[in-house]
Amino acid sequence: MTHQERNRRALDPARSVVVEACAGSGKTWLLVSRLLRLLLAGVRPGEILAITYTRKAAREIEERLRLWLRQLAVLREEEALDFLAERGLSSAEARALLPRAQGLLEAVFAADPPITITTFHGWFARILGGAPLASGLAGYRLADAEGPLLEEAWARFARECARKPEGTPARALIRLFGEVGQLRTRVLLQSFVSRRAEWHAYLHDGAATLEDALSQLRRDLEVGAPGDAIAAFFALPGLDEDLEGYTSLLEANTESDRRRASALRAGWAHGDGDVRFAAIRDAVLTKTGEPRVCKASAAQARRLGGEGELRLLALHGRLTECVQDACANRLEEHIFALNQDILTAACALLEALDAHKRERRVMDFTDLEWHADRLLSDPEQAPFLQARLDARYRQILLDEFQDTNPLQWRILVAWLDAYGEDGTPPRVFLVGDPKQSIYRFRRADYRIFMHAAGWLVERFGAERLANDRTFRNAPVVVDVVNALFGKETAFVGFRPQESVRKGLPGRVEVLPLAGDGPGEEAESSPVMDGPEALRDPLTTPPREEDNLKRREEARLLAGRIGEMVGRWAIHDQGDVRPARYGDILILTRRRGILPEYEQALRDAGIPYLSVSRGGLLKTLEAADLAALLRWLASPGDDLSLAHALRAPFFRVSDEDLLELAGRNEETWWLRLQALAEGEEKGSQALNRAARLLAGWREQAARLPVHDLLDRIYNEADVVARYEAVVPPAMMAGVRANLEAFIGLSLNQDGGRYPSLPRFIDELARLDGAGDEEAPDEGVIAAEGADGGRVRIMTIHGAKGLEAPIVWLIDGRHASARSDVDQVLLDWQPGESRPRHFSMITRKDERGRHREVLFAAEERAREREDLNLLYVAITRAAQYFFVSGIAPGREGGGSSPWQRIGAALEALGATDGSWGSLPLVLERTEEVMAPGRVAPVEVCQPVAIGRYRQLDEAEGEGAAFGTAFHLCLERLTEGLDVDGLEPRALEVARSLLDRPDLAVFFDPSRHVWSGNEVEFIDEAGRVGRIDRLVDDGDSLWVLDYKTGDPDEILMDAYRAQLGRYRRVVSALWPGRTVRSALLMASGELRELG
Amino acid sequence: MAAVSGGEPVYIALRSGGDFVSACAEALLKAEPDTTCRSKVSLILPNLLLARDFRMAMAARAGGPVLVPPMQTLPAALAPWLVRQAQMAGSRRLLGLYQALKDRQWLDEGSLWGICEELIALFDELTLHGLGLPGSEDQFREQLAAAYQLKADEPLRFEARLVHALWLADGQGLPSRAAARLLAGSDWACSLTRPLYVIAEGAPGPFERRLFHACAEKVPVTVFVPDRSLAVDPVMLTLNAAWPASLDPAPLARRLVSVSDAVALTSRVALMATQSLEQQAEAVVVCVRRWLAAGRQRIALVAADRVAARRARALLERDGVLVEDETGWKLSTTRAASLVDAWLEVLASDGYHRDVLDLLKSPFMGGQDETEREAGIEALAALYARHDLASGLEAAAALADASITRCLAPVLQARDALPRSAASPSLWLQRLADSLTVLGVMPLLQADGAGAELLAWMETRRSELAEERGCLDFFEWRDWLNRELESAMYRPRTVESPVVMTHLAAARLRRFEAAVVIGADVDNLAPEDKRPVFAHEAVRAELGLPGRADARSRLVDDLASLIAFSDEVVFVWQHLRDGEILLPNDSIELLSLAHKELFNDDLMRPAPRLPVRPPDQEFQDIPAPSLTSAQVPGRISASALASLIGCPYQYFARHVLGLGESEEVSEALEKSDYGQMIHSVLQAFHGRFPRLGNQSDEVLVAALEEESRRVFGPALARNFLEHAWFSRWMVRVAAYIEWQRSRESDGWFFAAAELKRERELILSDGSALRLYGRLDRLDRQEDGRAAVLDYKSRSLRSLQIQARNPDDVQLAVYALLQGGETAEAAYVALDDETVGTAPLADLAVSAAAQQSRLLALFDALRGGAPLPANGSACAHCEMRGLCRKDFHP
Ligand code: SF4
Repeated sequence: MTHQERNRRALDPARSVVVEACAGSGKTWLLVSRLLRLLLAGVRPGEILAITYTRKAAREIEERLRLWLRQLAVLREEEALDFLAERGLSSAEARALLPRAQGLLEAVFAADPPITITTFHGWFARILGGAPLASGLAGYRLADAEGPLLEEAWARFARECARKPEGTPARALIRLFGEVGQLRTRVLLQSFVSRRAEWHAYLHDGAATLEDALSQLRRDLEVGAPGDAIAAFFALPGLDEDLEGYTSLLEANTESDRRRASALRAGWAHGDGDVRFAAIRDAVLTKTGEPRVCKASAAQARRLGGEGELRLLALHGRLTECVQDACANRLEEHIFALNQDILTAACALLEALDAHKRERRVMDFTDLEWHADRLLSDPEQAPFLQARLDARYRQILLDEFQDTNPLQWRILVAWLDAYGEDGTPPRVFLVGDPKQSIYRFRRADYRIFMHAAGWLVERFGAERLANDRTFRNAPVVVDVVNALFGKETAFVGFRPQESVRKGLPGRVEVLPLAGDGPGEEAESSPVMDGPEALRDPLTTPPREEDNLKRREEARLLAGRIGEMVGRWAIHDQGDVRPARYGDILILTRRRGILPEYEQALRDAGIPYLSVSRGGLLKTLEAADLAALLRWLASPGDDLSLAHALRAPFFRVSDEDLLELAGRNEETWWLRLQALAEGEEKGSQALNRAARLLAGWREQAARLPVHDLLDRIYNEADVVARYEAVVPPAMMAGVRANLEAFIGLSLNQDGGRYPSLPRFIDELARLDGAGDEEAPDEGVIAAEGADGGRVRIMTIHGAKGLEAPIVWLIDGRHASARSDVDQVLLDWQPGESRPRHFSMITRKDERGRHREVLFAAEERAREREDLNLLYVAITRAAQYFFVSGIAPGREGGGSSPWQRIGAALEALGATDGSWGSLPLVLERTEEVMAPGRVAPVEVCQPVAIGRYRQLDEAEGEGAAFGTAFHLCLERLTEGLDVDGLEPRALEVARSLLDRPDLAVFFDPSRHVWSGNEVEFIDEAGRVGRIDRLVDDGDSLWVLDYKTGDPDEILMDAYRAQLGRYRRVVSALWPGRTVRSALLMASGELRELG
Repeated sequence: MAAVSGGEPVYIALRSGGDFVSACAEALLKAEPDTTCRSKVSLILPNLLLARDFRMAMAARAGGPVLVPPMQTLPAALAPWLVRQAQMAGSRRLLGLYQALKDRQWLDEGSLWGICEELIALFDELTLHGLGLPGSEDQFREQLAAAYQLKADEPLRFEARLVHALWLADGQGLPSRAAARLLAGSDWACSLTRPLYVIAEGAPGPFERRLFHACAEKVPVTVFVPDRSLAVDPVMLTLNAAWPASLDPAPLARRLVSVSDAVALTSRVALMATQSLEQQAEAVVVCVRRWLAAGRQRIALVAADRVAARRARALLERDGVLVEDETGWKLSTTRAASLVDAWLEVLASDGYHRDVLDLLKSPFMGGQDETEREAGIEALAALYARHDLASGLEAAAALADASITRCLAPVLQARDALPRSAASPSLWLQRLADSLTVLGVMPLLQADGAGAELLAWMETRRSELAEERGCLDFFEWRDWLNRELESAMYRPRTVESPVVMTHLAAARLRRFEAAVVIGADVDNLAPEDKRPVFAHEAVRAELGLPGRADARSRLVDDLASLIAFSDEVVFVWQHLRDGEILLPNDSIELLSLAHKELFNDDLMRPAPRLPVRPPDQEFQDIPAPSLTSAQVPGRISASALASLIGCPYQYFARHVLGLGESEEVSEALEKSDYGQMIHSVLQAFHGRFPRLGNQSDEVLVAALEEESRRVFGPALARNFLEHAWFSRWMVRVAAYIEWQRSRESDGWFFAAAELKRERELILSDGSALRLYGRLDRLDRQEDGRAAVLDYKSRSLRSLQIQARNPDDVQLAVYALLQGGETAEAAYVALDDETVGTAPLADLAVSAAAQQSRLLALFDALRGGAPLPANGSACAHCEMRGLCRKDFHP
């Protein structure tokens, strides 16, 4: 099928389609093109649901769609037609749809309901947001973090156990503690809790109970009551005779056999079945459980006679078999007992967790999933839910489908089923790549992709398409991919790929392992041979054995990067230019090893950006600020104070610290103050610190943490001072982290109930929280024209990204060990619930009945390893490197380093590389260092605004004056005066009653009057005349006064009324204007 | 054109744009040509802040002095009438509905507050629109079913029943505030005597329309309505091309072709996408600086993104630019509310230590000498840590000394003032107030702006709810309180400045010299979306309520008017948040696109950053302090020596500076506690059985168990999960006895435990160095030879490796401390299936070598040798902040 034809079909709105597309084949392009085609075909935005794997990806899809719609809105006709033709429309269709295409942007903006582009979790959250009131889900919110919830659940569970120490869960828990220890108990129970949705499904959505599950497990493991295995062994017919015969033969045999025989007889006589069994077991099996060697030999035949020997061999064989069988059965009993304890305790923990969450009305991501599942699988609720959400999707698009888990698929199927028989079924577009399924730890199962594809073909008449052409990787890279994965049998379904970028040069290189040279081993023993070898710590740092090799690998990496940047040719959208730092992507599977590599990059002055999640609070700069805050909240905390003093914003020297240490005041703060205030002052740095700290201490309790921090940043010049001491390669990161830290203080709990101690507690908690929750390091602003930064990422994090140069470090590290202390699940794709649910404990506790499942797990794990490697290699457009360190002992397993090496060999490479040497360009300097953003001219600050004095409120006299004015106003207008100040009212009334003032207040005595007459004078100033009266002769400007003004004030009043008179004269030209103060006493003082 | 009374209100559409207010002024001057009359009409403004603009416009139009009508906002006009309306206070209404819903027991309690709030929002919206639900539940259900296009199934029935029942319940008793406003409106209308002019900020809503209609019965009513489709102003014309004012407009491209008189907004509008919160805030600051430097003063910060706006405000304050905040704070975000929450948390958690300390550290807790109080708090924190006391007020009080008691006493007394039995809401508030008085926080709360507001708020609610009888338990009430504090606002009026922080809606029709919209992205700058129970558009339409399209066009109108009324507007948003792209608001995007098409400029500008003063590079070198001989410690323990060997700087910090981590309450046993407990158990056990002799295993195991139970008992009683540690030890008990037996059969007998030992060494300058330590256990042979043993809860294998490491000094130091008779020095590994020892090989030689290294080290230190920071176990080192290792170049 041609490329065009494939696109035409994949994008046809009338079809359901499943596309299996390799890395770099343009999945996002296809998905967004389909969105576009749907809209063009008149599908309303609200009828579209697109689900992808991360919020980030969802946003990117949205952004791309917007971009295209923007383009379409203004493209010239020919361009627009080309644009549409590229997306599978014939030119006639394109022409016909052109007007609609132009209006799509605004149509999508205005759409109501809008288009939905989200993640599974986002979608579930919407479903629950629209949950009917009856579902009881109203008022729930998503918990910020699962960690604290779980901690609470443990505490609750513990209280419950303490209340009922003889209860089943408490006893199970104690047994577990003894059996597997505290740590593993926690791990086991928590793994169970994280799989509670599957557990719920396993229990037939709650219809079955723990007891049912345990009986099921009993059947799966074929165990009976405890002790049954041994009882069955002893019940074997003829056992006694066999044993007797066996023992007597042993007694006649060698010296060691005789000893065995006597031990056997002794044990055999014991009353306890277990002891007896152990004696028999030890007689036929070695300590490791292997059958003892028992072979025919001439000497033996002489001792026992030919027949005797034959009999011994036969008996030995028979007994061994029976004993081994019994051992295996006993193991199953043990596994069952262990599982019983784990599941029992775990269910109790789960109950505690649920109760706690119910009380707090929170849920977490797992709950989202299973509540969504619950609602949708209820035939009563589901249609109502869809109606209520106004979400009758006609088109469903599923991206990155290989990372879907069984439960999510189950929910999807339920949703699709809820359309019912009558409604037209929606069209489904499913795209993904089983080769890139790398989220097994989040329960993803790549096989669901295949199953779903089949299901869609069957139910929706979907068309299956495959795309194995990459627009990203150079042919050389593709060669290696094909050579490597074509051979891997576990990589089911792999088809050779093809590069569209035929002329793109590239290279794949496997570097020699670090620490693999001769003579390394001898040096590496940390153990001394003679005492003379004692190290002088003052001159010689301790040796960090593990890190030596890693450091070597890291140096190699840094060295090679140095060679590439500025020289190697990178093909960038048709251009050829020298490589920049930003072109390089370093990939790792484990994050823990990164510090060594980062150090090497720093040493080499290479700017980098380590995309480690959750690392903010681990950085020194964040620790500095945290220490300062801690001290501000607890001024007796000397270590925190000393830490803060050493931070760049104070830079107090060790000598100064020694001076402080030598003083006698109780706390370091008192010492610091005493020193700063004392006769012979401390150093400049100390005095500055003392001054600043004193100021912040005052503010610490009162100010919100953010404002406190802002003050600290400002007064101590924090950013600049870090800039002065931090190695340049690190500074961008440090600055970003300083900013992220202050951002943290702003976002804390939505700013609710802020206090410094709470913030500090929260920091401590977040620091200990897992990656998911701990705050991330600040994002380093992308630089404009310069070369950017080398990125260091996990393979998971690099999903969806690409780079011209990719380097996989730590490549000799063999794949992850198989899972322990996890849930063992058998959930076949397409089935509505798991068939099996138990716990994986130690390797020797697998047992034979679960062997198949373990084998399947093993396959899935191996497959995922390969998937990870596939993702890693296919990130590289041109150059791919793999490096690693020599394994300590013969590290078995197959590592990426070995696999790629083998692939290169298969391709015929002899020197560990494939492809051409890179084109080396003239070295250019501009790309070498990260420059600063071109400075925009920034003006100097101009201060403005003022703080209102707190006592600016009016005094009592003024209040009376206001009331007096108001009373006069309301009385003269005949308005209601209820509730006005009584004294003012009384005075006002008395004025109104005065005959001499009647001309002003009695409407029948004048032509016109107005209260509070506002005006604007010729200079634009506002004025307000308390009362303006036209008595027919003149216009009176009255101003009410309550006090007894002195002369100075009278002058001011004169000026004021003069101004008022001028305005009134201007407004009523030719009229006489008079003005007066009307005193509260009733006196009228005419002015001017 | 003046309207007449007894008629209909006259709506006059005036072109919206920068000159709208002056157009209103002109229209009013024309309608009221007579000077006198002008002070005899009233004018309703949407916002008093517009009064100034309006007066100026009047003056400008009149060309000289002029009388202006009295101006008021509608709420202010209605206020006196509203207070006279009997009405149900919002808080009572909520509680009433809550009670009604609770009584029915349809739903679990946790969801009720939320549902009630949503329903109230819905009912108010209906009231405001003069609408209601159908009289019968059945009709309502059918209405819903029609809107949903569903058969009335059970969930729908339930929903209809619930909403309808509460609608009826809400209709009982006094009218709601929304209903009271309607009544107040008609009272006000009846009271009118002067012609009424109204400047509307947009098309009047249903409430206003009905109100003006009523007014028009009494007096002539003229309403000026801004309408941007009438614009002639080129700026507005350009904006209209991007943002069509009409429904169902032509596509953008065609509109752009047909627009005439458009003017480039290049110098008026700028769009800035930033990459972080800080950058967004800095961009705002740079803009404001530029404007102020250019002499512009009326500046609006439109805070769509509250967080970024807050950050920007802090940065502006650094510049001395004070911002007058019209948006205010939620009461819950004030320090005063935190005090209340901390206090309630102390009660809820039975004095959890962190909560108690948080409470005591509140700035409102006064009444004592500050230093004394601080000392008391420090002492209390130390007490908690010393006793590992996680919670319990009484327990803390029982252990407290005088300074602590002074801190705790009011807390204990206040607790008695706040009993936690179920009570009516007003009683709860009364109790809270009483307890705050006892706590002694009232004076400082009163003196604090937010504090006073909070107290006033409490008092208002208390009196409103005085009649409310329904009982709430402590948790329900706290839930209620939290929600209320979340919705109550506090607007401090401490700053006076022409630079204001405001909402987009509050900026309507106001003229600014410059404005910046902070957070112009899809999330923050979004059309108002009240999502009450029925968010479904069809249902809202069925009920007669407006849909989201209205909110959208409202937002666009607001944006248009902000641009038209201001000399310059900058839109800034955070393009990247948590690694995700945050797209600009739709309208901003459209404007950019349209402008690009028209003028080849998409208005996007780089977001400027504030410069950081260029620093001089001066790396912090790896520190290596050196000491005078007087500063070199005269004694050293085994662990200090280990520190000196592991990292000299660490030793410097710990043992020369004398710094160490302050103790913390450990809420659960840790490994070190466990080790300590095992020591105690074994010490006691061997006290009873210095020799196992012929005692049977049963007796010994029982004795060991008994001692273990005694030692672990309190921990087990405190937390059941400590059984984990206990079990860990119990499974080793038999192995321990077995090992002890084998020791004895080798001739080693227990001699002593927990021995303090000290020994003086002489340095080469003749001064003394005292080596000291505590031996876990000493065994002896009959011949007097000694073995020093150290218990470790670790595996034998790791201890064997450790014992062979020349930098591991512990065993050698113990041997030195015990002296010449020592024949064995070993770790005892207590964490494997069997117990075993890991001895120091070549004891005498090793000990001598360690001793000479120790002496050499101290000779060097006294000679001024520096102590470099070159440790390797930095991951868990508490001195990382002092040595600054991370920043070493
Ligand atoms: S962090 Fe490392 S270098 Fe610094 S003091 Fe601690 S051990 Fe020494």
